[in-house]
Amino acid sequence: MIKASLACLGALLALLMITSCAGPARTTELASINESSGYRYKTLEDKAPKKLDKAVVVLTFSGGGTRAAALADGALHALADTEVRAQGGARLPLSSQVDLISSVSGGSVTAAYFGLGGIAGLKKLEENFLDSNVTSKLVWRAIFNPLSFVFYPRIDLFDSFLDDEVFHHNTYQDLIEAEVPGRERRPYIVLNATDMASGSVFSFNQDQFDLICADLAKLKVADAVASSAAFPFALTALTLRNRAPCDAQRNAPQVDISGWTTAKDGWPEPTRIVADRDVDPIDGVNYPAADNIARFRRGTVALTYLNRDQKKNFIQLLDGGVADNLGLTLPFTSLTSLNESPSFLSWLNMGKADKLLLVVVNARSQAENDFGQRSRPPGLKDTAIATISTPIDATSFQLLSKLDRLINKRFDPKAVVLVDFDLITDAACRAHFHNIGTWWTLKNDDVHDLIALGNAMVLQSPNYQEFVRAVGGATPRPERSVAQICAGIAARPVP
Amino acid sequence: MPESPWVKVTRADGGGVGNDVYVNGNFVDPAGVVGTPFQVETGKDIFQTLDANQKIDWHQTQRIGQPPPGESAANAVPVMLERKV
Repeated sequence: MIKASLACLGALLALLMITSCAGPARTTELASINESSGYRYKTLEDKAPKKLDKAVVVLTFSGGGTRAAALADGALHALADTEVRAQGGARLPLSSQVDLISSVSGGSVTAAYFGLGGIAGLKKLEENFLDSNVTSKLVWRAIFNPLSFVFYPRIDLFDSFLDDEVFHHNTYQDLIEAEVPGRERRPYIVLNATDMASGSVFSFNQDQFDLICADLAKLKVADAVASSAAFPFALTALTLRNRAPCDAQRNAPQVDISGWTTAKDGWPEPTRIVADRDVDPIDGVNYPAADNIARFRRGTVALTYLNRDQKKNFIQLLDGGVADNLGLTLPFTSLTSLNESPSFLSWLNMGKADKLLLVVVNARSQAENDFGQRSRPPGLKDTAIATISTPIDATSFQLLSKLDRLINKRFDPKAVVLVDFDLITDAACRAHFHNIGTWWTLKNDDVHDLIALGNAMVLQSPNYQEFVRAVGGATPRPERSVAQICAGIAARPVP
Repeated sequence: MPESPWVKVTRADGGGVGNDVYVNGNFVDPAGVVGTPFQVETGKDIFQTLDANQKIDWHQTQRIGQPPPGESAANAVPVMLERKV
């Protein structure tokens, strides 16, 4: 009897382990490739066209847990507080005319929430997430589901929390269809993760999902946010099933100008990948035809997702900050390449745009340390943190500098607005914000200061004010200026 | 160093001025128009124009390297489209 019971228990445990090993596939196979449907800029634009004349409005939200989510929330409120003149003379909030939000990690929580619920929805984000003790909720979830905590990857716990309590089982189809009063149009929200295999940015849009033959409209928003925020070591990677190759790709329309073409090996490939990878093989070396090596690399990485050799059946995604913590990669490509959709370079060429607003929200932290005051080298923990964060920041700043140089003189005005603690004049106040930790739970005072800071740094920016004037609007004063926020922090009793 | 050099696309027969030009099958946004300089990325690109039935009628594949010094529309790299047979 005991033997039989033990055998049953063993079988049950084995079944649980098998289930956990299998893991959720998450993706659904794509029925057909259609450039006019799915989660793409064009689909959203067709549903509700832009009303702001000849202007490109792009926002990027960095990682940094709740610190980043709150700072991004404040920046969005600044756009909501700013009225501009749209086509036909109507007055609209600038937040209703955003073309693209590219985000990573903590910034992705706010970006996705804004995509689903507009500015009005951000109130719920503040109540249900920013001001909430998320860490405690995660711990309780683990305690009440000990088996799933043991057998499933840690990312699943975070993913299920986001799905149940933050994004309420919404999918990308809801991002396409969500009707939000007063929003006018749907912003194109692109959440970004890092593909562990290539170290490259993995963007959640249908152009990317065409390559893995998956229907993004059926993916839960929480899956994308969780992978975008899967901070190394704290969380495990999030796994997506790669459905390529598939019939949808084999049957991709190859009529003239389709975006897909038959490659040398007989398989259809997006034409842009073929063009990016064009090489001159000489004695066993594929010399990139492009002077721009980055373009060759982009094409080579994209090709791997087509999974011709069946060696990439799963994609392991980590925090988007590992590849680009500012979320600048997609805006960079859109502004400098004709092969991205939307291509702002095409808009420039065709005279569809001549003004640019690029708001870069960077919630980078810089905890105080004593590295410069001791002769002994830092310990393992400090070294590990520096090893992760140093390349993240270096990549982000290099990309921002390169982007600023490449788009110079092409837009008038070219308004690059930085929301960054480094710009705060008061040293003590700057240090205060730099020292706010990267967690999913912060003190309420810190959350409200971060929201106010994001709002004020946008509204006080001369570049922002110049752009708003150029589109026929007027910039309001922030409720609290940066100086007032800093004074409030200084006056607060030290706990 | 500029990475979005200027090109000026013309048709071998001198016609088609003002027609949309597509690059690398990107039909969502035309890249520019025949006869007016526009910017591309460095590298090999497929330039195409379409007829009234959305079929390619003129095309050219050309590698666009770094543009002449003083990047501007006035120093555009010439690209001549040939009739597709």
